[in-house]
Amino acid sequence: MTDAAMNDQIQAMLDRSQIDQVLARYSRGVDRVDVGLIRSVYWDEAIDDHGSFTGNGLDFADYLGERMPKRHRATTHFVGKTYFASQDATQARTETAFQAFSHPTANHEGYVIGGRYIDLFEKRGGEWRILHRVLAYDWSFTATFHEQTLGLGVDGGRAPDDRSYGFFAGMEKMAG
Amino acid sequence: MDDRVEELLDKLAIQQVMAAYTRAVDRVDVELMKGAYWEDAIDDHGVFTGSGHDFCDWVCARLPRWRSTTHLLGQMYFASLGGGRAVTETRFNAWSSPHGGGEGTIVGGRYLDVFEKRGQEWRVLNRHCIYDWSGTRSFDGTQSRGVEGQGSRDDRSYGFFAEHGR
Repeated sequence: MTDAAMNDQIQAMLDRSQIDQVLARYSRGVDRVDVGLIRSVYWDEAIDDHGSFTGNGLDFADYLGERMPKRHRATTHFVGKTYFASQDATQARTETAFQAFSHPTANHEGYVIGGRYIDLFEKRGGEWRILHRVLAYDWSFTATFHEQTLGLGVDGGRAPDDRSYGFFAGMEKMAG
Repeated sequence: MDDRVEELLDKLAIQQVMAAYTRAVDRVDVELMKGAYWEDAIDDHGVFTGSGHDFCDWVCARLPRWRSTTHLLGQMYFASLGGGRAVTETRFNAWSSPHGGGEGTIVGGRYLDVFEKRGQEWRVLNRHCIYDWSGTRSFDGTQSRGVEGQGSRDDRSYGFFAEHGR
């Protein structure tokens, strides 16, 4: 392999790794209700067709920030492997399976949804973000959640109280 | 080495430590599990807080009360990576199925980890386990149409890896 071809392959792997991190940031943003983190995955003019909401991605982030705490006690957006339908230097088309677990605020009768994020990512100035997202819903079922989690240890929370914010803040200094 | 390549290799190595850890839990393989932690690692797992290696002994003594468990790992969020350290958050869903079928549990949570690289090896130096939700599920055995998983070295994977080993 020529140096140039090797370099292109390394760059493609780095791009995939960065896209992977954008997807992780989105889920973390939603589950912690961290609106700043959710907004950071979209370009300004991005469109998110989420079914229940279709419009600008940044507006969707704000909508989630308003809506999540009212409706959900706790959520987990669990993401599987990402399929790259196509990828070049500045755009990638991907499909990422997710399972969304929701323990509602009102009671303990929640649901699990299986679906896919179908995304167009674009790279601008070294950074990858979503330019267009469509959500596909594949299945769902109702699920009863425990009133209290099993009480095994630290319970999850939201920004900025969730344990992870303190954990990352301290350790990032150590890492520095 | 190109810094970019090193970052990719580090991420892959860290993901393999996570995969080995969950394999070890579900197969109740205490030696494999200890390989995920440095000797001076601390694990605050809630139900157990102390040395990572002591946690491995403690949890492996308790796991056989389940017929089988599955710790399914989701996305890994890198809060920071560099200077021989990585700070990460990894989703898990833990399914625990009782002996003889019946009521088991599913737990949704996150591993918050500090990984440290010593020599060329990455391991956990500090772990916090966070629990987001849980529920009761009814299990009806494995509906097996073939090889059943085991929480021991009798699991087919050990024989498989040995058979195809070099």
